Amino acid sequence: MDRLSTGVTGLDTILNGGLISGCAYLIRGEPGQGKTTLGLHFLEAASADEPALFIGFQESDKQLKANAASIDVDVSHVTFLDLSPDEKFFTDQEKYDVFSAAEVESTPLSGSIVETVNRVKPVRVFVDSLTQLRFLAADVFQYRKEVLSMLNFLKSCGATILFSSEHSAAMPDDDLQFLADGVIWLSSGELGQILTVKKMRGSDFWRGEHQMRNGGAGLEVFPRPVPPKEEITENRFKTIATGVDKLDDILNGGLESGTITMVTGPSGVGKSTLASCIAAHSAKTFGYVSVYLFEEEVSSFEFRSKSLAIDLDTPRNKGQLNIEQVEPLRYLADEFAVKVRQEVIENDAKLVVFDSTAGFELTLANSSIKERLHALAKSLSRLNVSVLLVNETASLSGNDTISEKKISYLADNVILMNYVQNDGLRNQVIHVMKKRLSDYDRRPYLYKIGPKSINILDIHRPTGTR
Amino acid sequence: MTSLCNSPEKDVVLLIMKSPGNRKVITHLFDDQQLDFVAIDNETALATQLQQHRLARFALVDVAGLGQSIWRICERLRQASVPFVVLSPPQAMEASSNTLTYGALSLLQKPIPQAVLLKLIGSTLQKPGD
Repeated sequence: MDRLSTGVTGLDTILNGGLISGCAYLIRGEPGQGKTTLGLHFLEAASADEPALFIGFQESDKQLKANAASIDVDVSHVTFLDLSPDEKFFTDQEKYDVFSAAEVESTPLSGSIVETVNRVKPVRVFVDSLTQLRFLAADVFQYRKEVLSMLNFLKSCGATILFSSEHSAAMPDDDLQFLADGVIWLSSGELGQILTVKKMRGSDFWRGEHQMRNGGAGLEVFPRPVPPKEEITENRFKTIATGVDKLDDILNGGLESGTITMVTGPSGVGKSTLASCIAAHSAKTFGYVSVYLFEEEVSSFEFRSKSLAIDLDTPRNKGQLNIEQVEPLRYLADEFAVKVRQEVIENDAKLVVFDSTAGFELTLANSSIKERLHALAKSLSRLNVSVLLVNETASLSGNDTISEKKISYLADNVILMNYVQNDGLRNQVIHVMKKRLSDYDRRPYLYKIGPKSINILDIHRPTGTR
Repeated sequence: MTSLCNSPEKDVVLLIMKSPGNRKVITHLFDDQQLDFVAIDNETALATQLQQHRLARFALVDVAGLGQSIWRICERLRQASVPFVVLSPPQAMEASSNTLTYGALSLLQKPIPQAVLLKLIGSTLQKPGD
């Protein structure tokens, strides 16, 4: 089955390789969502032996070329059939009411399209937009008939067609969905701009909502990560020491590779410190580690680690550890997921740390943390990459809440760090709450931070304390 | 004013309308049908044309933009025995209906199907015994 690239890498991924040759696809969405931009990308992607034709009812070819240039899309090889009204229609008062627009416009319009298609013999055609034809049709039946007839004509000439439609509540375009071989829907919502493939005859595709950006770089689509099928490799679930000896004892040797671990607890209890211990040790002994900081500055993270004799410098200098601060709103959630996955594959990473889940939610444009984290963490886990989620709970002491965000279900291991009050003193306890792949010490232990690293005392949390 | 009529002896259709857009689309249609016509947009021009084209056999009058001159135009056409049909926008149909008392053959609401207009013109231009 021949496929044509849409010119947008992320969309090609979602479509499992691109559009099927010789089919017609509807791009629907309200004005300003990026329909024309997607069409320009599609035509730009044409190879030298693929004539490309833009049939435009709205913007002049001059305007379209300027828009393409502004997003660095090369349309120099594209033929533009400009069917938009020129300025004379206004300046020469060419509006008319003696005949219906359908009678006056349809015939010359069809003639222009047929003549151009026969001359150019396009392999790729973008029609922008078929909403204009709706105004020229006498009724819905004739509109559908005309659209279907035009698509069949273009297909018979060997073209693959993208056509846009302005969908809105006031002017629904549901009828066009039945005529198309595939439907790509561009919309806006809580997650920002969203691309959804609603239909793709003859092919599977990535379902669900994918975040996208329509900006200075044109249209960028970020396929929402779908966890790959699990492959049991030789080192799958190999026990990896955390670098904190007592914690390894509690964990029955350490954390298994390719598992998701949540370090959870209230603010200031030492979660990031434990994460830096595990990151440093893993980078030295196991392989590449990526740490993404959503709240704390890299300098602060490094300073605290250094002051606690947690050696981040050695693995960093050896290129085994990368610590990156994720700036607020710098990435869309799906964009960030794509980036992480790419970096993991490029560097053959063994551990990824997200510090913290609250920052993840705030930084990535208030996206649904539960769904996004689930997809990302599971994807990494199935690549046999360990994931460490640093999760902050609101309660400062006495409440063993694992996660207010109800995301503990996706963790294979849960390490709770908390404060306890005992005889007027506030102590800290670490308590492994969950470990899926082995038995573990279920008792809470007191611990102290510093002077070097984290010191888990061989003292159980006293009973009856809160 | 647009004139495609070269011979004053030939049957012509008078197009009396202000709107350049309407003139343009009707011109296009009449060109396709090889109909000879003269397009004018005011009463004075009509008077001149009626003197030059004594064989004007039919007139199509669009009331839009003609204002009060529409009544004088109708009167002139009636006096010259030129049959005429009036075109009116939907919102002016009631006022336009008065043109029937000024001699209009018919009053049509815009937009009109091109086929209907051509048939109307054809039947009007048909000479007795044709």
